[in-house]
Amino acid sequence: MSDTKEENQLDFGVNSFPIKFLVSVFLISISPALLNVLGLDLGCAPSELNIENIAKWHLNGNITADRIFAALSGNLHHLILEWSSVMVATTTIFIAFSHFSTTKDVSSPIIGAAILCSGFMDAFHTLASVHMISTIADHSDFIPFTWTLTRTFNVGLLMLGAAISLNLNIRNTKSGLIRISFVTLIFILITCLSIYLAMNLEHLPQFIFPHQLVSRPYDIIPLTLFTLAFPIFWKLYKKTPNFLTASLIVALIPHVILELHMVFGSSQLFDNDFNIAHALKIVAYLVPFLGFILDYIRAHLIQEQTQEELAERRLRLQAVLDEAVDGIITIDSKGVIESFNAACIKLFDYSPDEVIGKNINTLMPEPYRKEHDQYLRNYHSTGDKKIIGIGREVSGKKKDGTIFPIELSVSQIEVRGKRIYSGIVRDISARKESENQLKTAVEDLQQTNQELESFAYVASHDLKSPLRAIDNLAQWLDEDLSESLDDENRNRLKQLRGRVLRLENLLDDLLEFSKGGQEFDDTEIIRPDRLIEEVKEILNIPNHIKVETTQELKTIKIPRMPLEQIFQNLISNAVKHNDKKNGHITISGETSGPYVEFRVSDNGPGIEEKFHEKIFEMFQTLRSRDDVEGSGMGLALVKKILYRFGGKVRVESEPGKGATFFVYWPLNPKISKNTSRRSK
Amino acid sequence: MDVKTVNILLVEDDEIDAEGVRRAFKKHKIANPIYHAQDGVEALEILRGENGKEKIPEPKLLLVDINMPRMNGIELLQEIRKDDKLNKCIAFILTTSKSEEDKYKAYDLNVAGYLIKSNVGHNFIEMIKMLDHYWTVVEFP
Repeated sequence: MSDTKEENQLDFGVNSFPIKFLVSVFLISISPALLNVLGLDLGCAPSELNIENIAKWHLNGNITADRIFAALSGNLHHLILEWSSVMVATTTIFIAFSHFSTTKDVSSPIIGAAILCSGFMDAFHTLASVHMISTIADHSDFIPFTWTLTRTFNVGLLMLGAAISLNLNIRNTKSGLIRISFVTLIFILITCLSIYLAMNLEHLPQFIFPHQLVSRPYDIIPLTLFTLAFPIFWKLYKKTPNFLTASLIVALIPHVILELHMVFGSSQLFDNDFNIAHALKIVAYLVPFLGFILDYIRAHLIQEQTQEELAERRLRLQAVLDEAVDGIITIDSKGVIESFNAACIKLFDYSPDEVIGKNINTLMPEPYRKEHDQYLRNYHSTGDKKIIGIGREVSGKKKDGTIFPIELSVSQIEVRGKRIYSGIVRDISARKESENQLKTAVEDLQQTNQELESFAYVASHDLKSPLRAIDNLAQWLDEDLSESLDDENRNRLKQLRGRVLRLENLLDDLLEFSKGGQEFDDTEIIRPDRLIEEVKEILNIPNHIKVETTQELKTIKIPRMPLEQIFQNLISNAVKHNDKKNGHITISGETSGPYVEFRVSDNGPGIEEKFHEKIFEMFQTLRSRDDVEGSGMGLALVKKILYRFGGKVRVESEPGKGATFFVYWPLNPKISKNTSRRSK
Repeated sequence: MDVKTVNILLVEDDEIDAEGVRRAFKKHKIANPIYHAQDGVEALEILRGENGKEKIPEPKLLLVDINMPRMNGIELLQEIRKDDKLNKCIAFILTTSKSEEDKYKAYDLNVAGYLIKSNVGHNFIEMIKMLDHYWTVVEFP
């Protein structure tokens, strides 16, 4: 037992053959023989109870109960020994069925039935020996005959049972039970038939040959059979190694030894070897009985241990479920809630008692509530999955009716052919809220952006008409008053119109900026050198400034818009600010990584490093607008356009050393159409 | 020129724009009579000689702004095209609106041209020259 206790598996097998058990049984089996060697005779006097003796005692007048009992002592010993065997054999069947109910091993009731039927035969033999069953044949031959018969029967049934067990592979309880009943019935039938035949035998051969080496030759049959049973029992043990099958083998030791006592020792009824044999028969019955009991106990221990483990596992699982941050619900195939973990209690405010047994749609707001039953039905009939194995964002309903957003993932589980669904529920209120906040913020920003752009558009467009009126009025004043106007006032009028012009340019640029790069969609693809030629013509570049392009530009293709705008602004800036007698502007470019890199270099005054960022801001000019006309929008526009398409712009420059503007135009422009300008 | 002098009906709510047109005509020595209506409603009155307004004599040519109070240029043209007596009128649109929608609507109403008031300082010069040529060359209904 101690070495099998550590086993955790659910099969009830033994690891190794129980040698100690075998040795103990062997020692017990040879102990009577040893006692004989020590000179102890375990025999009884042969029965003196016959007609002549009784008549003699009667004549002598000493017919006492003591005398009768003394005369019967062999019979009585025989009765006690045999009946003990019968008791053990018949009890075995109960323990065999208990064993079967625990181990589900069909061999146990079959062996049990074999032993039971042997017990019946023994009972018959015993009862016949004390004349409780009347027989036809002569009594003195009948006892040894029925002994040999029951012995043969015993080993025959055991071998048959073992053989059946070896060939029965079914562990399924139902069909197993039918087979067991069938086998048991056959055993009983054989037993009854044998008893009936034995009772009706008229003539029996001589069974005991005293003073011969083989005093009971007929017992060689069971002796041989018990020897032959070994390989069958060994096979059974190998197939299902447990105490029962081991005990069958161990039981062969007393069986064989007792038969040896019978075959070679017993020369008459109730002698030493006769009694030893009968006593060893009890041992032979006790061994499988013990095997059953040991197996039974062990099975129970293992089962107990398994149940403890199961209970612990269940507790652990429950703890995992209860400690889970997410809600976990299981429902059956009809949608009835089966379990509801602790997180769910927090989520839904229901206690498990309130929802277990109710439909899952209790936790759902409309329209999910209505849809769910239909959905489950659909799923069962069509296998059409809406959520299983996918996970979705849906809504849950708390006890007080509050609806809150949840993320639900459902998986399907088959447990012993029963389909259940487990759902993991996560409250995503916080996430939803921040998503909404973000969405609102983005919408607000888009709105603001849009308003700003439409404002820029409206402002630049609608402000122009009064501006034009001011210009007209100033011009008319100048025309109409040309006679009487002094130079100072004429200059003021000129300045007035100059400012108007500047404001209009500013508005134009603002308009351009608000549209910034929107004409990209259906623009043509052009070589940069050609585009720059066109830009040069539009810009009316003064003669003292040379604008050159390098050869590599001829190998590149770019969209006309918005690069026309970009070059126009960069080149016009370079021209506008050039302070040299001979101005030089060079435009070069090549593909570089994910960009086309253009460089617009000039030999102008250069820009101090501290302004390198500032020049790209709106309305920034580095020189007085009276010196150089400019709205301060050009570079801001260039930057905005490039930013919109995923490009960038930067400047390298030092005062007095000219400036180089680097334009990075993406080879794969990302077109963000986040600005929807008003159409009018 | 044996051609009758063309009378111009300027429909313009902006006084200064109207003045600009007048001055431009004067500057180019174009002496054609100019009638001025503040909006579409007044323009219809002048065209029909209603409400105490002097009816504009034939041949006539309309210079119509689009954005005006009461009745805008497009609505005025719709009225004119519905009117059997007026529907043969030659009309030019003279506006600041660059809207494509306005342009299509105007041409749907059979305007002779859609002229955009150019930027500050141009003073309608090109436009005036064109108009001057137009009525010397084109036969009026």
